[in-house]
Amino acid sequence: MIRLLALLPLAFLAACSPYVYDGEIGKFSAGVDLVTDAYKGGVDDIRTTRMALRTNDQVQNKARLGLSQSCRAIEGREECQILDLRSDKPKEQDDAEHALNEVEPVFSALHRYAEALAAITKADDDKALTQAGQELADSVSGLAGAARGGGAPTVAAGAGLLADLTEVYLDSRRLATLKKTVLATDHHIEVLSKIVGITLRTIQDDRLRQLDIQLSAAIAPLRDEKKLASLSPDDYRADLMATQALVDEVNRIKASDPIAAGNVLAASHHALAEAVRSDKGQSMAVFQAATGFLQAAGKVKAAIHPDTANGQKDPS
Amino acid sequence: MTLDDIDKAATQAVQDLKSAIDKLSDLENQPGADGAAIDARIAQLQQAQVTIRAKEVTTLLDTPEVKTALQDLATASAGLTAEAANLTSIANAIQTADKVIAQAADFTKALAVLV
Repeated sequence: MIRLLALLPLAFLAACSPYVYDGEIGKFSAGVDLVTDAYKGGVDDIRTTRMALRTNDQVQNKARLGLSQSCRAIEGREECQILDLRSDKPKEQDDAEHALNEVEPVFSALHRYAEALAAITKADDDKALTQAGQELADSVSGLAGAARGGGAPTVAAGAGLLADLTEVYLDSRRLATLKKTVLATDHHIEVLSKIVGITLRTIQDDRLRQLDIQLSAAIAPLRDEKKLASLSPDDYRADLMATQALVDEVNRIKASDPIAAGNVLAASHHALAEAVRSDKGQSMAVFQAATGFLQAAGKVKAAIHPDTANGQKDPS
Repeated sequence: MTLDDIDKAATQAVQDLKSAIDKLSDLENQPGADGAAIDARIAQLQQAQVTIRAKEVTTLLDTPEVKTALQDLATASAGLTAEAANLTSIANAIQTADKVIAQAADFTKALAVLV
C-alpha cells in the first residue's frame, strides 16, 4: 500500500521527466555537431582551395618569388614562408576567411550547450538507479523467506519506496534545471541560429566562387571556337569530363539551404522549450522538430563538406 | 538595426550584383564574346558578393544581441554541466549505498539459514 501511494507522484512526474527528451536532445546535439563539422570542414576547404588556386596562379604567371626573413633566422621559431613578390599578388587571406574564423566562438558555444543539455537528460543514471533499487528490493524480500518473519516484506517495501523516491527527486531536479535553462536560452539560440545559417551560406557562396574560377578555366577551351578546332577528340572528352565533374560539385553545394537549417535549429530548440514550459512531456512537435533539424543539418553537411570529400579537386 | 535588417541590406546588395553577373553570363555565350575578360569581371563581382557576406557576418558578431547571447549561453552551459555532475554524484552515492544494504541483507539471509 505504501509503495502504491509512493508510485502516484512517480507516475505523475514520469510524464514530464527530463529523460523523455533524451532522444530529442540527442538529435539536437547530433544536428549541432553536423553544422559545426560543416562549418569547420567548409572553412578548411576554402583555405585549401585558396592555396591551390594561388599556386596555380603563380605557376601560370611565373610569379617572382622569395623567402621570408624567418627562413634565415636560425634561432627564430617563426614560420618560414615562400613570398609572392608581385605587387598585384592575390591576398593571403581574404575578407571571407577572416570573418569565418571570427565566427568560431558561436559554433563552440552551441556545441558546448548541446553537450550540456545531453548531460542533464542523460538516462544512464536513471536506469542504473532503477536497477539498483530493484536489486535492493529483491535482496531484502529474500529475507522474508529466510527469516520466516513478518517484518521483511515491510522492510523490502520501504527499500523500494526509497529507491522510487530518489528517482523522483533526481528526475524533478533534472527537469527543473532543464526547464529553467531551455526557457532562458531560447531567444539566444534563435539569435545564434541566424548566425549559423548566415555563416554557412557565406561558406557556400565562397566555395561556389572558388569553384567558378575553376569552372571558367575548364569551360574555356570548349567555348572558344579557335581552341575547339585544335582539340583532339580525346582532349575534348577529357575537358568535358573535368567540366562535368565541377558542374556536379557546384550542384551538390547548391543543393542545400543553410538559412533553412539555421531556422530549423532554432525551431527545434523552441519546440523543446514549449514542451517543458507546458509540462506535457514528450510531444510529437518536439520529436518532429528535432528530426527535421537533424535531417537539415545532414543535408548542409553533405553539401558543404561531405565525408568522402570529392570537393578537394586540383584547381589546375 | 536588427539582425534581420542587416541580413536584408546585405541580401539586397548581393542580389544587385547577381543581376549584373547574370547579364554578363548571357553575353559570355554569344559568338565572338571575349570570354576571358567577362570571366575576370564576373570573378570580381563574385568576390564583391562574398565580401558583402563576410562584412555581414562580422557586423552581426559585433551586435550587442549576439554578444549577450554568447555570454548567456556559456553561463547556461556551465550551469547545466555542474548540475548534471551533482546529480550523477548523488545517483552514484545512492547506488553505492544500495549495494551495501543489499550485501548486508544477503549476509543476514545467510546467517538465518545457520540459526
